[in-house]
Amino acid sequence: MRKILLLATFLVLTASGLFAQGITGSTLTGKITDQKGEILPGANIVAIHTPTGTTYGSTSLGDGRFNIPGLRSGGPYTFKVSFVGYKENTKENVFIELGETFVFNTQLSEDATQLSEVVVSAAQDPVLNSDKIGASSNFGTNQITRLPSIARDFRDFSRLTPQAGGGNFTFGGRSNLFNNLTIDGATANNVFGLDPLPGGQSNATPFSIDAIQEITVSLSPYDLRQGNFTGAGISAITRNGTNKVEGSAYYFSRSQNLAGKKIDGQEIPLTNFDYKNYGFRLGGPIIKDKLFFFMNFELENRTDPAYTNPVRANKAASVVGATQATDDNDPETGLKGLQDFLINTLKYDPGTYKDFDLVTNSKKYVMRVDYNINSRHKLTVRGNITNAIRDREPSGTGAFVQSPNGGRGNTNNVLSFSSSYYRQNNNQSSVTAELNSNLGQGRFSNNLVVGYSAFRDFRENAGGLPVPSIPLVDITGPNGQNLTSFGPDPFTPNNKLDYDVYQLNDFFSIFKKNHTITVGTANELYKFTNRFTQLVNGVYRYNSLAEFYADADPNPAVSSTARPAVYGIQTITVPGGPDGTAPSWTALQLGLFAQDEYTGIKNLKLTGGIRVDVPTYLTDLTQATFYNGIDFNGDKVRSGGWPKVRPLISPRIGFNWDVKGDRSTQVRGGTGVLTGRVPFVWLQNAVGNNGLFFGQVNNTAVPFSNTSDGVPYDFSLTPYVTPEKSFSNLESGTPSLITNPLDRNYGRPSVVTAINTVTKNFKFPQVWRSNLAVDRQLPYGIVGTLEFIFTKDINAPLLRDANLAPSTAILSGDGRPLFGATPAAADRSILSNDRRVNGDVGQVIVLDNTNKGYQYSLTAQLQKTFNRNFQVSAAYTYTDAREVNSGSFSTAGTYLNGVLNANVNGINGPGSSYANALTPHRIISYGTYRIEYLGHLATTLGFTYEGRSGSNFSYTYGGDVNSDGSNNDLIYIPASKEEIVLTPSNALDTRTPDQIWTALDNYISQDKYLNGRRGKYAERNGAISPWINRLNLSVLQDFYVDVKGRRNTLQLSLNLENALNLFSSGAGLTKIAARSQLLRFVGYEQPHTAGTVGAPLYGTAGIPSGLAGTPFAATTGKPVFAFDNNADGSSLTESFINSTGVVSRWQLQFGVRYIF
Amino acid sequence: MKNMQKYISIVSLSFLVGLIGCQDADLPEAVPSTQASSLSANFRLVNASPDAPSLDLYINNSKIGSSASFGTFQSSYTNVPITNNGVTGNTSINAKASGGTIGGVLDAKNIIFRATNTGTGNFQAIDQANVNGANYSVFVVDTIKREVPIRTLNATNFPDITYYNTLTGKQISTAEYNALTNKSVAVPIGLVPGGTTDAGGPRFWISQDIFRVPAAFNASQAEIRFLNTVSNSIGIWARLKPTAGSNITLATNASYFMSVAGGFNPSVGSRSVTAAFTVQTIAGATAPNTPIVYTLEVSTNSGFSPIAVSVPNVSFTVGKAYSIYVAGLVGKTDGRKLTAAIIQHN
Repeated sequence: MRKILLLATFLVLTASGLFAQGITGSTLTGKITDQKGEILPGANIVAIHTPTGTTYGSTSLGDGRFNIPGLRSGGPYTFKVSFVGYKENTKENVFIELGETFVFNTQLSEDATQLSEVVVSAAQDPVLNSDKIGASSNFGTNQITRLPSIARDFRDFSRLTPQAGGGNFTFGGRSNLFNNLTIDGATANNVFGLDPLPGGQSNATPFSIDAIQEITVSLSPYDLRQGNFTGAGISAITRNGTNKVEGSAYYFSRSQNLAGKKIDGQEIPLTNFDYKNYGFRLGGPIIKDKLFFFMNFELENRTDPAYTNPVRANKAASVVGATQATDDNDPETGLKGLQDFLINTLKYDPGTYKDFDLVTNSKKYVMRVDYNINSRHKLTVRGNITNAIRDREPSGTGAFVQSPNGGRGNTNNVLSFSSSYYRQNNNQSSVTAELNSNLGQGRFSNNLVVGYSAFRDFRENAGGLPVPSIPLVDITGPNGQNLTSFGPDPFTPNNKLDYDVYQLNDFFSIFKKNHTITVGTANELYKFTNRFTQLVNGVYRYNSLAEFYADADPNPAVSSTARPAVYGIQTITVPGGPDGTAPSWTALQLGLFAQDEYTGIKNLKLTGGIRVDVPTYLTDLTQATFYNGIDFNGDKVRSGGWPKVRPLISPRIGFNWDVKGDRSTQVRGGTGVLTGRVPFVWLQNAVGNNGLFFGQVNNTAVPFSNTSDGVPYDFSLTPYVTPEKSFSNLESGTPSLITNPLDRNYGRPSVVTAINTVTKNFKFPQVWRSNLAVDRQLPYGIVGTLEFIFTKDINAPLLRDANLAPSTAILSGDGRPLFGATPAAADRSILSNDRRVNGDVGQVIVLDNTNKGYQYSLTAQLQKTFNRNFQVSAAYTYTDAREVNSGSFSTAGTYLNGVLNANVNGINGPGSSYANALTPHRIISYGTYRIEYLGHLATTLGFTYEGRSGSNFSYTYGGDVNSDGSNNDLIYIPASKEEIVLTPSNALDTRTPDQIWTALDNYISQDKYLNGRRGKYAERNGAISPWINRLNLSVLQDFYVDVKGRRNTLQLSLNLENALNLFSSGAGLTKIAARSQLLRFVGYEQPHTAGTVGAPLYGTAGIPSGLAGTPFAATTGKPVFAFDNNADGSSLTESFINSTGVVSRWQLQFGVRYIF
Repeated sequence: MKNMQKYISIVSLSFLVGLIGCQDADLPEAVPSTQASSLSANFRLVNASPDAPSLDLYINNSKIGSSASFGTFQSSYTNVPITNNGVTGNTSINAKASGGTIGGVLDAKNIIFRATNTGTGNFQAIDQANVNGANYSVFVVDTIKREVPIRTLNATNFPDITYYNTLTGKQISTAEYNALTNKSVAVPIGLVPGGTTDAGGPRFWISQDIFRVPAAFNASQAEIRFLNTVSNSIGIWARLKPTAGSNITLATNASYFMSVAGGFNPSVGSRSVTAAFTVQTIAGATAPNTPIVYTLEVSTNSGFSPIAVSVPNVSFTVGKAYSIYVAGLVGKTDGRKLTAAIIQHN
């Protein structure tokens, strides 16, 4: 440890200057001297981007130094240095990476001295250069066009970053919602956060990979121009046109026939699908050397069958786990009967229950114009449009109503009608303009970026059909699983999200002797309108088709009192209908910074600066004074209140030390604060769920009494609509004007199931991140890197339910806190041992901060670049990451009550544990090799290999053992039989409790994680699935003809994903947890019920007086669990099973491309 | 320089923290149970299925007590460790043929407790707050030939009400019911859900036996309840006829106790109820401690003519609780004929 401390001390003491890392461009810098080493002020430096003839010019300053920022990345470049009386010095064929600072120190010789012309051809080492300070990875067109990626997704390249995680777009163990994606310097992130990327809900990438020139992933930037992330900053720049007309047209295709059919020797065919991806790109001059264009258009089409599981007819359901039986699901007598009934009797067409296609489709357009105004000013304007749709199966969740068993998506039990499938639309359009100016003869530079992006997300019914205004109906089948659903998905009616992002960035740099001082501002204005009216038409659940018919038939053959088993509806209680619940709101994030890059000490660069971000809210929200007046155990909430506006300060320093002065070894690092933004849906939760917009009815009592309830529980195709402000007195049946929404007759058991608030002191995420790395030139031209990154959370999100009363007891036989019971009262009074603080509301979810949590990673990387056609890299990264809240949520309530918040101490006390996005061990390797031969042929081979720890997960109970209202309780792993009470799963389970214990004990013993934690609680994300090996290969075969200096290439490509699985069906598999909800909680030995002390729970019917139930207090009984058998009746003996999805199969994609 | 030192310490500290790393998750100390559950309840098997073989009772898949053939019952409760719970029920109750095969509809299968005809949930305690130490009488009722409830459809293929013909023991559709001349022999079963998991054959009827402590009685009283387990009975009358004095009426037109809410419902799964005892004076007024000797008489009509079952020399002990049940089938003269038995509970 002491060594490290000394090393750090030494490094910082000897630190000196450094250049900034650009986001959209690169920098050329250097020093001009004569043969004697004397500085030459006033020399002219010209950098020419040869493909476009773009000329950048500057003059060396008093110290002989020059700076040309804002250079277009890529190349090749030609540098020319001239001075009167000296011979011109030229350097050719130089390539500069995105964000790189290329150092070009040169000596000029006097004209009189007859030296031969100096012509150098070089590219700077991507690792061993003074610009590299923080952890970052760069991927250029070489990698993008040559490495395998069947999805043609830029994330296939960003994941080559050693510190990337195994999950979707995660880095360093942090949530993917904490990343920031910019294209050409403008924010292209999904700032609302329903998905990490725009279009993510439609499976569309935000841009075509063919439009991209370069991608940089920054993990620890000390350049203060970079901001708005605490995960990784991903910068992409689009291709640009050149003086040469260049283009490409392409077509890629794959289907189930080009994928593995066996999983570990077992024939499990993949569902049919059809995928096509085609488009073109074209770039060229409008005015030679002056004005250029680039365009790309791409289409992606995929169709999948809606029904991939046949609901098996005529199979007896008398064994546990059997599929739906007999006539209820025999299409001709069951679903056909239902369809006929709906069409003929209710005059509603529910769509089909026979196969139909789900469409996933995107169209992407990119148009870019580059204008070299003069040698000082360069303007780039880029516009792009991505329109994506995806048909999806209905959500299986119940929203605030109990979920249907087995969900609504197609399984062997469930076959929902097409009217419940929905189409997600994600439309995005964006315009960005960037002006790079080189001012004052190279003494100043300015970079101005103006951007506007519009995101329009909305839903339709699948196939683009209008969403009918009818309730959702779930009908349970004979085996207790949902059999079918019809009517719109619970979250689809009115679902719409519009948001706009306006961006203005300006960075001004002053080059002065050994200093580059940059001051800048980075500002984003956001405008959001989100309409989300879950269950606004209501949801009915019937226990059988028979009961539905009996209730819904207006002229039943048999007089019936059938009622739904569940009825729930969310009604709009403000004027204006759905729009009234979706106020537009505007937020602003202002950023200001100043930094200095100092190069005054030999072989050292040092950067330091400070950035201030100020999140601001410009819209006043409706205050819900009723809730704000409630005392939640001393906690007051602020419904409709924004966090306080306050500056968030990010100081950062960094260094790069060339140890021997020859770039054979460099030590680099730094430390500083990164400030991100929240996914704004976190704040939208508080905007929309303020307790005023909606009233909720959630009734599971059977049978309902229509007359006394006053709401039309009797099935009606017409949704129940409340007159504005008159939704009250549901129980008395006399709706009247609401004067007080807390009227105890207004809805039950609470007014609303949840409201969302944000604390006044809530701060945007901030982390303190430090890195230290050594890069070294090793034998054989290999560059080795050892890099350590440490991140400490300063402001991480934290969620809590203010309405959860403190625990009332300790769970017997376990030791964890036990909360009060589910309220039983129909009015909203608080009962004895009630887990709520206030009965007028369900959960009161508060968004707050914690500073707990840290992540660190240690990477060892070897890279070898033989030449531009042969590159190999391999890296191993060890990561550890801990968090209280992963931040991976869009709906706070879903997170708080879900397994990501798995806990022992209750939902408000998740404590710190392993990060959800943690991948402890990861090896990443990639390489490309290209060879041209026979004058007309070229073959390019590429591979990527990823070997990594599997996904982590939490062992939780099925059920709510601590009675906090959420099924996310971590299990206690029993060390002996006495520590757990087990019971047969059901009447068909023939095991005695002793036999059940033996089965459980054997299971725990074979599971390394569980066996190691006997006598302890399982940790959140503590268990981890087995190691995953994934090798992807690509072969590109070019046939080219050079005609008049122009190469015409026909390229055939093969992309093989998960190649190991092609060689053996037992390799390349992804294993998943067989059952993470290991034990099913069935109850306590003693009841745990809310009630008035002294009153019996079930009344005295049938029980002689004097023998009534005892008063209800917190339980003293131990929890009772079932350790269920598998569906086929066998015992669960192994922790992991093979995933049978595409992740466990090889897939081949053919492509053909014409390049000119 | 001062700042520099600060930076140094910041960097160093962050690395230090990083290398220490690996904090344990924030979890409280577990306080596990140190001994097995001590909860228990008492179970007694009563075989009232007229054509069933000798049966064994299994609680949580362990065999409990002795075998019982039709008309007999286990002479005492057996105390069994159980796991009580408040909500979903978790005591598995099964009966198996002592000889291996039940026969009839079930054939070799078990009789299992099922709370509904589509469910296979475990037995749920009735008085959940007082399960520990509770007493249960587990009656096996119905014939082994009871059919799987059938679902009848109407002309438009919609589910329709199914009826049970008590004369034939068959299930009939609404159309067949309408064709009957004597509709009183048929009773509605209701709309039978598709894919019922009710396997047919014998079922459980489980009574929690809640009786008073002896001190709650006066010196001449006992508790008696009457249970009709005759599946094809329309109504049963029962009385206790003393050698002298007035009769004690036990049942007047008592319906088969698997009936639901007064209507016959053979399609429902097993049931669990609490059937209350009635306090009866069973000792002589002149000699309070001398039990009166009765004859138990059972009939299918109010006039007790004919008397279907007659059990002489029945007497009761003051302060005790008794169940009197009649089993068998109306109209049978073989081993399935009506019979009656008396269980003393305490």
